[in-house]
Amino acid sequence: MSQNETPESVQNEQKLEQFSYDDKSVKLFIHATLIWGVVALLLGVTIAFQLASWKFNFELPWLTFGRLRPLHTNAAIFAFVGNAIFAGVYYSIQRLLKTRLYSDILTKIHFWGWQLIIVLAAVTLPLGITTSKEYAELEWPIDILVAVIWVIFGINFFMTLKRRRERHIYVAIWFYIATIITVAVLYVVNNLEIPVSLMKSYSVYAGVQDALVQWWYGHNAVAFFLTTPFLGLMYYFVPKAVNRPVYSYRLSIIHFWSLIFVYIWAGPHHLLYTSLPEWVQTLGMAFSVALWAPSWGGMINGLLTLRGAWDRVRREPILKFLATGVTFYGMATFEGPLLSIKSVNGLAHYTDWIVGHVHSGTIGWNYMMVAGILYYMVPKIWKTELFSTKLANFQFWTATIGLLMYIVSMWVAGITQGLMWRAVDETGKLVYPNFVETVVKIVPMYWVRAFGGVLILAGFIAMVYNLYKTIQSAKVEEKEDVFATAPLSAQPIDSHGGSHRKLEGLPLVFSVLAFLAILVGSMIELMPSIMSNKFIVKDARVKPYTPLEIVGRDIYVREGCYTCHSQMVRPMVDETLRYGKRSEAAEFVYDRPFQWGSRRIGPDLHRVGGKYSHMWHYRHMLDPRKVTPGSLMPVYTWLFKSKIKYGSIPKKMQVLKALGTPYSEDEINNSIRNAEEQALTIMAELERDGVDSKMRNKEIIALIAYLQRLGTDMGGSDEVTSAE
Amino acid sequence: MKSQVLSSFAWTDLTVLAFIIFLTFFVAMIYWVFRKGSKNLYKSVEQLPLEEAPVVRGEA
Repeated sequence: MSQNETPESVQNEQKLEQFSYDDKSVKLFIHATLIWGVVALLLGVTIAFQLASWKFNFELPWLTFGRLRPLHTNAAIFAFVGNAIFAGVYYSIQRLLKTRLYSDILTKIHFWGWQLIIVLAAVTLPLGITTSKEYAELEWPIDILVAVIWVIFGINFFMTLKRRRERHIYVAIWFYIATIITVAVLYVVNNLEIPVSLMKSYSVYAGVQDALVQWWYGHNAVAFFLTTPFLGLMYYFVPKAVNRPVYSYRLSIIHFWSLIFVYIWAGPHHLLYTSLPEWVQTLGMAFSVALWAPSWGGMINGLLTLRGAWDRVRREPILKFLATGVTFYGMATFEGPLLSIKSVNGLAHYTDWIVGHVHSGTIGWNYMMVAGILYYMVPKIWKTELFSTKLANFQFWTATIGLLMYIVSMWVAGITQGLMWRAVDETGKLVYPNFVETVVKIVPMYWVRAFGGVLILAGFIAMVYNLYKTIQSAKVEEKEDVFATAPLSAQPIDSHGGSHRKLEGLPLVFSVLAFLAILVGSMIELMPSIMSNKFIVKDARVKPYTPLEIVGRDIYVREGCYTCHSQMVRPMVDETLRYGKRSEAAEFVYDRPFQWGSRRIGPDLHRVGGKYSHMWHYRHMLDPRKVTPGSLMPVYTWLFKSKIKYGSIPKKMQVLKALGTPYSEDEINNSIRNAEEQALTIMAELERDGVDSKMRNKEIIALIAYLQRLGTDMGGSDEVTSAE
Repeated sequence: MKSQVLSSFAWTDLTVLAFIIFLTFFVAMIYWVFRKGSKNLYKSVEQLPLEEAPVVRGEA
């Protein structure tokens, strides 16, 4: 080439390209992070108080725990953390790649589209429009919107990558790529559903299969939404904040590949001791324990980047938050594998220990990292000084103390309750046969947790104030800064000229490799359940739900009963003593979606059918404390006012039939009459106990029909030895 | 029930397969990361976050 003859300096000068960064969009995402952060934490505090006292449910359907808890988790994950990720990713890739984001329009669509999704979630979830799959509760039209906006984010990201002016793709960007690819796969696969109406759908998966897909998603939402993007951010912002390169770049490569390869397998640890086939549980547990190694590799790499700068960690809020965030990442990823060991999980699962663990991740890791990153970005991007270091320190201590109150109270509550559940005396009887005894015992811990939450929220509000004051002090800028650097084509290729094309193709090759890494685990775990009809052996005793029970089940889903009640009796002595026969895989083949739940704030309900009279349920839903003194359950008065929507039944049955539930045409055609008849049967018994016959078409009747059916196909609660 | 599922299910070897795939992957990766001549590459790449493009117009 003739250019090779010109002196290098001249060549570089000729080739310099000018560009600017789209920091306006980054600013928008920062504002959104602050606003939604307050909302998510406020919701968290609200539901924490609802568990401390049922009165905070205010007898309003859209304010009950069962509907607000999904809103809290969605707001925390997708609204607060999501916007923070986008702000951090868009800030760092422009600088790492020395280029502007690919398209201002796509960035705008991404921003406003994501906020629209959040608003839709904030409206639909309190209304009880939900799929009941944890962290995937949004109904199908919103799911489609999420997928579209995520793809737009992906296009914007990968096209920015293509237009880069830096040959090497720094490790932070690898983590972003893995995030974009994997979240897309997870979200689409888990949310496959057939619509019944605009705001109701049924999952294409049922029972055990649904549980497996859901927790493959649920766990990897933690992995690829709350972890990998933040590790990417860690690899960019920690070196930036201390002005030192990462401790070991080699370690970061090992960290990246082993983490994404191993993480995807870990989902089944959410389903230990359930009806999931044993080999899948073992696989999930083994990989979860293995996950400890790459996680700690990453933590060590992050912390050692601070080597020689520890004195600054004491003084500078940014480093305080980042160092604490990485430390909590280490703690949470130590506790996670520990909780995945089957025998530990046997005690901890369904208790508050898990809730504490989750928050040491989301508050300890995500919140702290977000705070550190915001304290770094805001003064930089607005070209000003932080308003108050004191206020930032105040936030640091309130958040840390609040979080410790949270974690410790949940450890105490979780272990206490877990031990009380399993306590069996020398005669072979449960020491605490009444479930509510184990609830009353831990209520003080719920107050501690709630006040811990208030501290965390107070610290966050202090940051919002601090950052808005910081932004106020900035000069209003009209023009963007212009930077200059040589284009990619002018940069030398490291060693071999021949590998030029190969290196240029790297992002694509890399993305394919990352995709393969997450695909291996997904395929091996999920394919047998999807492909093989031997995976779950059917049992002829298990029959599809009746039309009225379908309506009742949908009410159960709408009210978020699964947020407090499991439907899975594990094969343990205390559980069979307390609830009845262990749950079997065949019993769930018509459950779309599955309702195994993840937390027992109230008792398991899988064998509740036939255990109590209709009247017991009737009174219980009207005022839980009338039948169970000390209960935390909200009152459900609206179920006694709203009517059963009989008209919706045939369509629901048609969709279920299309998905494989063996309903005949006759059954579907006669479904409404059938449902009315079943309601009358239940009503007849209630009338004998003095209930007005006007109640026959109210939702409570359908819910009773469903509850009385639960777990009865295989004998129900006959074997219960100790009634509550 | 679980034993029934297991007895009729021939894919339990998948766990072994999973282990072999992971081990191969991990060993190959370690080998690749420590390949000859990679040190200088990592030295330059780890500086990437610390490099900033020079400003032509503006005050940053």
